[in-house]
Formats: sequence, structure tokens, C-alpha cells
Amino acid sequence: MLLKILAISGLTLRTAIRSRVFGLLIAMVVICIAGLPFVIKSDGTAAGQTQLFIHYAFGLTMTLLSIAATWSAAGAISLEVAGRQMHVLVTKPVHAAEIWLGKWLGLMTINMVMLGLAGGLIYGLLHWNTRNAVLSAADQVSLREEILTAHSLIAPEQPIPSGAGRTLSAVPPGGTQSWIFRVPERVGPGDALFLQFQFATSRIERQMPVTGLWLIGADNSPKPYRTLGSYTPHVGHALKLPPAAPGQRLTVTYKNVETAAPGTPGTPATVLFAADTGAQLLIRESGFESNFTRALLLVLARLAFFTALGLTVGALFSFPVAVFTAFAFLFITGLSGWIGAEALMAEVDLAPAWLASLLNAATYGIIQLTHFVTPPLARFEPLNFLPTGAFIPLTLVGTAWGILALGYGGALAVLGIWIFSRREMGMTTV
Amino acid sequence: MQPQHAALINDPTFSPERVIRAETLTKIFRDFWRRPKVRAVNAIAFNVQAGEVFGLLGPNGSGKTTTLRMILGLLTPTHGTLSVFGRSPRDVESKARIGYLPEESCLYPYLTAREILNFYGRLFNLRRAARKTCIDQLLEMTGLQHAQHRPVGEFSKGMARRVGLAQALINDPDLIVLDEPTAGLDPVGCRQVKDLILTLARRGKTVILSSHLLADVEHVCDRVAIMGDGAILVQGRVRDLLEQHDRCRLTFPTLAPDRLEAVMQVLRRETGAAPVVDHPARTLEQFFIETVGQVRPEPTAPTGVAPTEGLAEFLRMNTKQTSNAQHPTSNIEQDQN
Repeated sequence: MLLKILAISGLTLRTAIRSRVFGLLIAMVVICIAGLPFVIKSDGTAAGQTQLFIHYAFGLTMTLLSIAATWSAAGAISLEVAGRQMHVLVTKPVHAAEIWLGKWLGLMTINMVMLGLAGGLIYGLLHWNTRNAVLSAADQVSLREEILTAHSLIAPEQPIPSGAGRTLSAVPPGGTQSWIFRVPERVGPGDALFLQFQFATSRIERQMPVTGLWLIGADNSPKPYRTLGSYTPHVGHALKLPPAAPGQRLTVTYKNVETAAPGTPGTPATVLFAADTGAQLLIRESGFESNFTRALLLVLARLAFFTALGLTVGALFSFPVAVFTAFAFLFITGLSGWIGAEALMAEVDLAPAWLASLLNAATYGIIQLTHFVTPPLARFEPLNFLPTGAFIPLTLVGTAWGILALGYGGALAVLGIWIFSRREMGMTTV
Repeated sequence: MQPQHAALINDPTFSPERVIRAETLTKIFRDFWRRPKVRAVNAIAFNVQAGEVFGLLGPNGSGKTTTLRMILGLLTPTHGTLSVFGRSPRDVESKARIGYLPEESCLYPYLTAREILNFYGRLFNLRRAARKTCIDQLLEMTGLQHAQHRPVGEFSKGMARRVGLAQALINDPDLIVLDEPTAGLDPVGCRQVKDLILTLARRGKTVILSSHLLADVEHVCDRVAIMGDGAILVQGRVRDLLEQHDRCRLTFPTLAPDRLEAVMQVLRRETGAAPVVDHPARTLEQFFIETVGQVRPEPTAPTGVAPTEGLAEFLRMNTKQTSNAQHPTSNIEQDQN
């Protein structure tokens, strides 16, 4: 079985390379990624530029490869049926499963090569754009500590009380708010610690900065580390903390030092922290390179699903119909979260009431079904992690492969092989 | 239907060694709403014996290709029974004993002739060395040695046809299904294919072919079935169908007019009818091949076809023509999974 699968995957790979699809795709990816630094506009900082580059380059790569994977998979079977090569192939002693898996393996090899190439290019350009001649040593250190790293968030041991439906904690002018964190044992002695925080204000002018004082120190420390700054609301901030020993407890206090400046239109602002994510500790988990590799594996899991989807619809329909069906499914997948949220909030206002209830139930059922049949792609979105330097746990990668590739991809494989084994290849296709 | 079936049972070639058995075989094509649209094959019955060359004849749209596609498992019969080597046509194991040349060559245009043959050889689990030997012999047999490294997308229809024929033989099949085997070939190529079919038949292979070129079928087939409008109109041995048993033909060297007249008088007296005298003629195909053979240099152009007369050596003699004969395992790799 394995020999036949390998033969078919080799044929798929060879055909793709010879048909110049491969070359065209490589050229497109290289041009798009290499051209990105010339077209993106950031806030002018090295961090902003790097974040934007990672975001757009990775997003572009995912989009291009996802389209290419779905497109080529949809054609891998349907075009061979139309070109009647499949007529000869199925008269050989080959099971439908061997053909399907051989095609999938061949296409996944192409996906892996393309992803590796795009990843290498992004990584190379990142290094090129942050080299000594471009950035100062301080900027480079800052980038390595904040973005070109992999850090995870530690919630405070003693978060803001959020009982009785309270989701925000208000810090009025002159008031304080404290959090207690325990530094995890896995933090190395030289690892930088950061405090990540975000807040809103009581002001109508949403983006007007506020002044605040942070006091950070070990428990009962007589001389805590102090830093005064002006921070913009609704934006994530990272504050570098002094080194702390593993297992140490840190008390972090925010003091609202806002005063009404004479002659200014604004009033002293009350600062509002979210109960759960207002302030969190950022610790380094791994290097950027391994995080980057895990992000690529997340993308590959998606491509495994897209390839399975394309092959299965290609086993059922002719090429144009297969492409349309696959992209329609992906479109619904992209919208399913939004549709679900909207539908749950919406109420049908009809009389009689039983009809409204029936329609509501039907809508709810359809949305639930859509949720069930569409994969949770957003849960495994590498763009939620990589540009901010957030750590991608290996368990997330494993879950992505388990759900997207094995779960949904496997279900599609079973369906595709069943369709393919029952399909009459000698019929004209629709 | 019933008379056909009776004829089948009385067929002198009938034996238990049936490679193909079809009974009331029917194929109805349906539209999108599953309503019957075309009855392409209508309750046909026929058997093909081991070692036989069986021809399906008929005009375009008579159901020949549909019948072949059902035999190959590319279409599912709507009604009736059909078995190949005693199994369902969709059975994967029995496909190891079948070679198929479709009406159009249906090759991968970006691959070379050698790569295509290598690919199909791998599907039959042929060992690397055995595969290479088979491919070399098939390329030589089909005259494609000089073009073996060119993508078949650049091939002429005739050359592509030769690659198609080679892939149909890569597994040394017991049953060879040829759909319009001479389509796209020049007269020399047609003749070679016909000779090949006869050689394969001598080696005990079973061949089933469809064609609307009657001369092709007449020369190579043991039995034929003539189809029309989805039904078998007549089937039997070619010789039985074509021979006029109430008439005789004598062939002898040309006589002087008075001697010929004497012979004619005897014949008139004996038969009571006027005999017809003419000169036997070669077929146009024979004349063409002789003429081209005289003026055509040895075709050794590096990009063209240089066919040889021989048959690939690996195409073994079928000594055991039983329905459950096994493919020789000496050239087969053990499946690793």
C-alpha cells in the first residue's frame, strides 16, 4: 500500500513542478514577501515595523498558500478525471484510499516546501531588517526582549475582585490598585520580566494619555521599583521589570496620579482595568526561532485541512464546481463565529409566538450545525501569537494537528475516499 | 435477449475458462434528477474465453465503449451481471491482471514516456530492476527508445498511442482491453498493433477490443459481437459469420484463355450457374506497407518512432490459462504495508 501511495504522491509532485504551478507560486510568494517592507507603514518605531512585517508577511503567506493548497487539491483529482488520466489509473490495482492519500501526501509535500521557503524568507528578511546597520543596539535588545521572543502571560495570584458581575476595576485620581504575582520557577535568572497592561478611562476622548505611577517590588519591600509614565488607553503596554528570582512574589501597584492641570480642558481621569486581563506578567518561555517554527506548524495543520477539503470536493465534482464549493465552505468557516454570535443575539419578532420560537430554534440549529461542521480555525490562528511575541505552546500545535488535520481532515478523507470509490469515472463530470 | 443467450451456450468455444461473463448487462445513463436519459447498453450477454481475441464492433454510439468501461469498472451496470476473472469488475485484485488502452491515450503530459511507464510499473509493485527491464523492452517494442525522455505532451497522437499501448502491457496482463487500438496510428502502426494483438493471442493472452474499423477486427479477432443501439445484433466466430458455405473460390495461376474456358465449362456443367472469374487483389493496407517499406529509410531519427518487429520478451507465454492464475511473484515487491 505504501509503495503505491508513494508512487502517486511522487507523480503529483512531479506534475506540479513540471506544470510550472510550483514555480509560479514560489515567484508570487517571494515577490509578495520581499516587497512588503517597502509598502507597510508603521508608527516609525523598530518594534512597530517588526510587528507589522511579521503580521503582514505571515498573513500573506497563509492566505496565498491556503488558496494555492485548496485550488491545487480541488484540481488534483477532478482535472485528472476530466483529462481521463484517472480512467487509466483506476483500472490499475490501486484502492481509492491509496489514490486519495497519495494525492494528499504529494500536495502536502509541496505545501511543506512552499511553507519552508516562505518561512525562511520571512526569517531572513527579519534579520536583514534588524541588522546592526539598521537598528541601534538598544533597539535590538528591546526587539529581542519584547517581540522576537516567545513569552507567556501569568495571571495575578490575587486578581481584582470581580464578584457581583463586576468586570472592571476603577482607579480614581489619587487611588491605587494592586496585583500580586508569583514568578514561575521556570524563569531563568537573567530572563527579562515584563508587565503587560491595558486600560480604559472615564474620559470621552478615548485616546488621551493618562499619567500613572507603577510601584513594583517583592512582598513588603521597603523600596519598590518606581516608574512614572504617560500611557495611552485601549493600547497594550509592556513595562520592563527589574530582575526577580524564581518563585518570588511580586506586588504590583498602580497609582493614579492624574490631576487637573491648570488651563487644560480635560478633567482628571478615572482609570479602568479589566478584572481578568488588566495587568499580567510576561515571562520568556522560549526563543523566537522555536516559536516561529511552531507558528509554521500551525499553518501546516491548516494546509493539511485545506488540502483534504480540496481533494474531497474534487473527488465529487468537476474542477470549477469543486473550487467554488471549497471556497464557499472556507468562506462560511470564516463567518461562522460571527454568524453564531449574531444569531444568538437576534430574536425573531413574529406573531404568533410559536412561529417565532420555531424560527429561532431553527436558526439556532443551523448555526450550531455550521459550528459543528466548520473547523475552529480562529483558535489556531498564529497571527494571534507571533507578532506580539506570545508563546505558542506545543500542546496548541498538537491540538491543531489533532483537530484540523486528523479530526476534520480525517473525516474529509473518509468522506472523499468513500465518494471516490463509489464514483463512476466513466461518466461525464458535472 | 433469449436467442442471444441460447447462441452463447451453443458456442463451440464455450468452456469454463471464462475471463469475462456478461448476462443481461444493461447501462442506463440518468439525468441530474435520476430520470433515465439514455439506455446505452441494453441487456446484452456474452462470454470471453481465456486466450481469445474478442471484438466489439459497431457504429459510433452503439455501446461499445460503455461496455468496455463496465468491464473495467469505470461504469457500474444498471442491471445484469458482469464478472471479470470471476470477480466484480471493481475488484482491485483482479485489476492486477488487466491492461487497458483507452480510446484516447490519456497520459500525463508533463511526464516523459519512461516516467509514465515507471509510474504504472510501481503501481504493480514491480521491483526496480524488473521494472527497468520491462520498460526498456516496451520502449523498444513500441519504437520509442529515442523519444523516451521527451514529455509525452509533445508527442504526436500516434506516438502517444504507443506509450498508451506500452503502459497497458507493463504488468504482462492476462486480459488486455483495447478501445479503438489503431485510432491515430498510420497504416504501418496499425499493422504493427494488429500483429502485436495476434502475437499476444498466440501467447495465450485474452484480448477484447472495440473498433469501428472492420478490417482491423476481421484480421485479428477470433469472435466478434456486432452492436447497434446498445444491443448485440449478432455474435460468433468471424469465420462462421463471414464465410458463404454455399459458394467456393479456387485460386490458381493464370491460364491461357482456351484452358480457362474449358474449366469454366466444367464448372457451369457441375453447378448449373455461371462462375465468376477475376484476379485476386491485395488489400490497400498491404499495398501501402509494401510501397512505404520500399522507399522509407530505416526510421532512426532521434525524435521519431523506430519500431521493431519483436514482442517485449517479458510478455510471457500463458501456459496456465485458468481464471485464478497468479501473476508471477518473482518480479513483484512485497508490499511494505
